[in-house]
Amino acid sequence: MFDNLSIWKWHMDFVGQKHAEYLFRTIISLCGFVGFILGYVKEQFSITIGLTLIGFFVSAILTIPPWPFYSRNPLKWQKVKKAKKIEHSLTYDEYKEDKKKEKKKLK
Amino acid sequence: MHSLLARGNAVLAYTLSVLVTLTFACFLSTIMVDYRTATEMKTLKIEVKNLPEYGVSKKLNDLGHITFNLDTDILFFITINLFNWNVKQLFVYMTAEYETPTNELNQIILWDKIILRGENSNLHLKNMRTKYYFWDDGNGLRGNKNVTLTLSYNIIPNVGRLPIIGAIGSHTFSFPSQYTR
Repeated sequence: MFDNLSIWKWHMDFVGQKHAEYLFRTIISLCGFVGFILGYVKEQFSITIGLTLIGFFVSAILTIPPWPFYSRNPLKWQKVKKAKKIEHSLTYDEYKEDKKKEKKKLK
Repeated sequence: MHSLLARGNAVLAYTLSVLVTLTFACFLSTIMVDYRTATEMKTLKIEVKNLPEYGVSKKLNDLGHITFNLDTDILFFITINLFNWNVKQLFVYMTAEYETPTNELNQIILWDKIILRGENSNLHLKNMRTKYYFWDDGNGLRGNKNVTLTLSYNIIPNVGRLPIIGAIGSHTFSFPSQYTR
């Protein structure tokens, strides 16, 4: 969707994607686990839900925008090889022109 | 994970999975809780009248009139809090059960109360009037020797079953054999 907007660079590199996924999974799981224990101790299930949602917002801020530290390992592409010059093949129009010229010569 | 929307989707989906898991764990943590408590009821004033219920017909029906005392959580004199983290509210109701010549089982809810979270679930009520009319569909109340009051409550949870629990203990009383005018 945003791919065509070239002002911003929305992409992470592959290592960045791996880090982002690990980060949000850790944060949300940890918040959920701590929330479960706190909610159980305090006898209030809304604490559990609330803490998990806090984890969601924190991880959303940390991993959804393409922060610069997610693009530290750009892909190393191969260098462009020098290609041999391909002989120019004729288009159909050029071919017709050539034929005409040949005919004139014969006359 | 490469684009903004794919990352947003991943984070949201994972959060929802975690929430579902936690909610299920909450249900599992309270599945074995025994919610039964003891109750003690006592009737004070017992009257029976013979009146027409005009909303239904002009026929004369028996109308019982009782006042009662109600105490819950008297088991071993330990006060039990029914609210754990999976209970949102309690719906407590008192039922009268009796037998008449026409019907083998009559059940009438005489009184109920909604107890919200944060309120005290131990009831100590003195000289309460019934909330709903004690109408019999005939003349089965006068001189009825075996009317039983029981207390039940409906536990409304965050997740899981919606159990109806009968409190331990009941009270049996009899109606007088004379109508009160």
